Amino acid sequence: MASFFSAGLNETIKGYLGRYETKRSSILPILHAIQDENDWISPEAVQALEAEHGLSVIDVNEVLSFYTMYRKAPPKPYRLEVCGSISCWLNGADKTISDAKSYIAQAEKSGQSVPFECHKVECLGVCGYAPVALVNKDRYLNVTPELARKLIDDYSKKELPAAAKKCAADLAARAAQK
Amino acid sequence: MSNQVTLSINNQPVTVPAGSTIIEAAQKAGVSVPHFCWHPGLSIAGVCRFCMVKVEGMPKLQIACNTPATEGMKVDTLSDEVKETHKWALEFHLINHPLDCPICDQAGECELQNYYMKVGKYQAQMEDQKVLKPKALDVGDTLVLDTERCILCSRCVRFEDEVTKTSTLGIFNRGDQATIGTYPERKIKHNYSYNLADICPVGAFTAKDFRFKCRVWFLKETKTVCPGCSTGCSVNLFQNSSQREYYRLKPRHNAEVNGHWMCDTGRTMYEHLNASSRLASPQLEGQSISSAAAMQAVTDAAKGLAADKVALVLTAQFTNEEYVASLSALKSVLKSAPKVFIWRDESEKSDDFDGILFRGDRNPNTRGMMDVLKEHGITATVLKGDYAPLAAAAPELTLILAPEVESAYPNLAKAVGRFSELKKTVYFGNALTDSAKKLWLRIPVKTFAEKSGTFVNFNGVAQKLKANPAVFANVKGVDEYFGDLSRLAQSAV
Amino acid sequence: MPVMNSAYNGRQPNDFKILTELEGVPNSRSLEVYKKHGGYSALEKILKGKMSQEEVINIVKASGLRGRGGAGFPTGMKWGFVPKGEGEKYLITNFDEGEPGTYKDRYIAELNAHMLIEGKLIAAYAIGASKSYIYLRGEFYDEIAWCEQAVKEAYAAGYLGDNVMGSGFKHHMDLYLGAGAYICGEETGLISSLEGKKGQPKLKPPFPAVKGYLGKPTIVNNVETLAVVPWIIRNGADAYKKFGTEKSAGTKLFNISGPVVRPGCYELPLGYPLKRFIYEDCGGLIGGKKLKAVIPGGASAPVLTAAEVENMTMDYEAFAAAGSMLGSGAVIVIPEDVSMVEVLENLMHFFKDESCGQCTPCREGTGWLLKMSRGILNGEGQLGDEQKIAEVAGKMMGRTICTFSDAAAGPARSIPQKFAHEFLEYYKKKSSAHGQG
Repeated sequence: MASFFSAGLNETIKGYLGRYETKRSSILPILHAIQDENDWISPEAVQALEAEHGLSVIDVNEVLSFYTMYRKAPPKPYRLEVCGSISCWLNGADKTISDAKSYIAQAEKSGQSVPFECHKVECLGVCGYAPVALVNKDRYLNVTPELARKLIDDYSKKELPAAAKKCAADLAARAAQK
Repeated sequence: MSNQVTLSINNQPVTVPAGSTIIEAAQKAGVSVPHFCWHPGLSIAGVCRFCMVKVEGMPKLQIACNTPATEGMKVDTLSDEVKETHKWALEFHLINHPLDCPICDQAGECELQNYYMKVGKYQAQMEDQKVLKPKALDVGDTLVLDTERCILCSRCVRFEDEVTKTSTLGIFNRGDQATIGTYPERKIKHNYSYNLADICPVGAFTAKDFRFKCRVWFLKETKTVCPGCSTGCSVNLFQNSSQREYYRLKPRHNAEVNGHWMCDTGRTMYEHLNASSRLASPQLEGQSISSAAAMQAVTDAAKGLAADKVALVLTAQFTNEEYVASLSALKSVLKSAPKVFIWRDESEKSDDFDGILFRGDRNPNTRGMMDVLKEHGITATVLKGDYAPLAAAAPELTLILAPEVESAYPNLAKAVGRFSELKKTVYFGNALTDSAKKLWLRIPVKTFAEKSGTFVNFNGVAQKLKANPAVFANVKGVDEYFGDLSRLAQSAV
Repeated sequence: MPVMNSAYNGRQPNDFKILTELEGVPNSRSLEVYKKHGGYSALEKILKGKMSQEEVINIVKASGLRGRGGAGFPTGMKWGFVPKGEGEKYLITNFDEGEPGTYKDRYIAELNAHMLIEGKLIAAYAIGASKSYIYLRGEFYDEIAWCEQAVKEAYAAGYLGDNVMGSGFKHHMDLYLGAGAYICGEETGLISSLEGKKGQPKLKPPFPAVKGYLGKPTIVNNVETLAVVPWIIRNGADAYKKFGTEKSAGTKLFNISGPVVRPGCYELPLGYPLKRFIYEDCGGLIGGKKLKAVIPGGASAPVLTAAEVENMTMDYEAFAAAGSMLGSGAVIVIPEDVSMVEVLENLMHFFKDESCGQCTPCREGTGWLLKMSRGILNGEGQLGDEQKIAEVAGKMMGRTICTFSDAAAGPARSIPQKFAHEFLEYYKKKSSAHGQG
């Protein structure tokens, strides 16, 4: 039977399975690795971890649902995650978030497809340069509403990240199967 | 170093083994410390934060479940500070609980409800919208899960991890969204699932086989022994005594036998007790007769027979007292012991054991029966799939103590078919099965719930049954019937 | 990848450079630069000098170094709790920096992660651990890269491996990444996470120094705590004690946030005046706004009013005396025009989001506190609600496995107590809305 994971990802998973004192410790890094490649962690991936690598679905699902970085649903290609915790909030994070959200919503209303979603997240740990935000794995500081719009525009022009492409292809394949 | 420590709880001294916790010491001292997550049969979670007590010399209150009892320790569970802490712990448990007691099957045996009556009784303080979670989830053949009622004590998760080692449950998400459950679409599939409903302190897990059937306050419990296998778990049997209807069994703690648990097979041991599934009166060649007439017929049939023309077929589902009574009666009537056979089901693998409680010997009293036979100096022949030895004895009269729990004898019909080929066959059993109709005489007997007496489990532990009034007033126990036989035979002389 | 802007923009040079010695030094993150500034000489001193574990622990004890993660527990004493003798032991660095307002540990990695690695090696030697982890929060992509690079260099240079610097001391180090959970900054929550589980704190006793990661003796130390250890070994306990106060020895990284002119990480001696820090070092509030309040040690520290800031010094004792705490040294500045009720709601949102959900008072209490604060903001409050918040928070304190619940209670008690009048404004809004209604 074909593996749910790519050959490369399977190698990475095996590497983590043997890297720590216990197999269970590998759950967090493995989930990171799956997300890096597939852009999210699907129920199929969780079941495949059990079937192919012997990690209990209960253990994996507990971890998956506990930690906020893991995406449990297919995301848009870019995530603008703005910290809304106290220091960023004091420096106007709410404004950045609501502005970015309405910027995306308005563009979509006018028929444009924007490869972006915007979320408020808790403290990102660079509180002096608030508001702080991530675009996928890239960190930005002092993210004013203007900078947020610029980030959305700039990234939207780029070629989509590999994970986003894979995610879209997987979803298309799944739809075709049905 | 002494292996005992003496501490005082509310100024009352109590001595416990070193390594005991305060909550264990309190139990021994008869002091109740409120708790949800602690369960003596599971590891310590320490998450409900209900069992807080004051320990002299410690600035903060401590949880009794995880604080070791030490020599000279002074524990207080009654001060205002402790009471106030218990009240607040309860309040935190209640704020998101749906408080749907009127439609909750746990009502009446809900620890949350009981503690509310004990330490609560105040107006709920949270006026905001409660957290909503999935309800009435089908998590297996035996259980329904309501995650909104769940107080996240994690007893069920620990049970699945530690007792059955199936690890089918987890707590997902975090904070006030934390929710108990199985993996989506997966079910709880093992023979100990009803224990989850027992240990659940609230109505999150309820038993499909019991829910909405009867409010628990109508039930009366009898301390007795499970007849489902040779482990002989200590159980409580629940009956609505005004209806004479049995509803369920629950395990009763017995460190020597079953600890805190029992299996799902054992939980079905109430089903054959109710009137609807039982033979109500003796049947002589298909005609209902009285018990007196039935025993007269047996006496007449036995009259003048040589002992070796009478066969006694035993199953290991009767009490020691019943074996003694039947053997003694026959010995006195026949002047010698009859031929004795032991009927085991063809499918039985008596050495099987699931590693927890359930044994392949589905008879509760094999050990007791063997002991009685030995005392009477009787060597019995085992019938297991092969009934030729019985046929070869060509008995004129065969008395069969048939299995009370027929589900333990999957090949019962085949065996009864063979018995029906014999001359006069008296079948002491409650079978409603068609095969038994072919037998000469059928006599219903009291069930384990209706008689007192002794079962000896696989390990030699003797336990007493406790009798409830019989469902059918005319039905007697085997010992009583054989007592009748003795009397009738004597008066004939 | 965008480059971090310098954290020390515009700040004045000062005499307190222990952790920040490499500030402004070109190519500061390289191993060469670190070695040029005395890097790995402390480790060498210990290994070549065949110092005993006890000697190392005693120096750290004598230095008065206290845990810089927030709790302030004496570091040397903590190391001393590890049972002596054979058997696996673990050292874990808590690099799960996530207490709102705190961004000091990442600054150490930005300057030079070898400080941390050398400190870890010394600590590992002192407790007899042959394996250690750096537990980093998963969102710290840059910091992860810097640490990975430094660990790789340390292996190549023979500072890590089966035979560290040819001394026979064996030590291996690995990184482990969190995945978004503040509670993993609690040491036993971190251990649970490293075991591949939900980051739920563990019941104590047993304490991690006796039974931690996988049931083995484990020490969890903050990045800043470990990074300062090489300097202490190189210069001696007395040199370190010259900084700070009698009970709060040494320097500390203070990280300031909120609308101040010169935000950043500042290394200052403990006992430094808070007001001077805000106004002189950091240039005061943007736009010359007046100060309303300060949260001195990260989101869980009880709030101080502007009046309380006046004569406050930044050390464990002074903050504790004022009913607050030094915590992670995260100074959060709140200006006059910000509503304290909104501050409360923001903080309660954080604690509700981050409660692990294990202990009932915290799981249920954090959600309740948020609902109550939000209700007041929405004009649904009534007189006494602020006291109710403080009361509920009070009942969450000291009753849970870890101190997260107490952390949530910090602001939830202090804000209603110190700023009750601001709540009244919201209640009035409600009555006027009804009046119009």
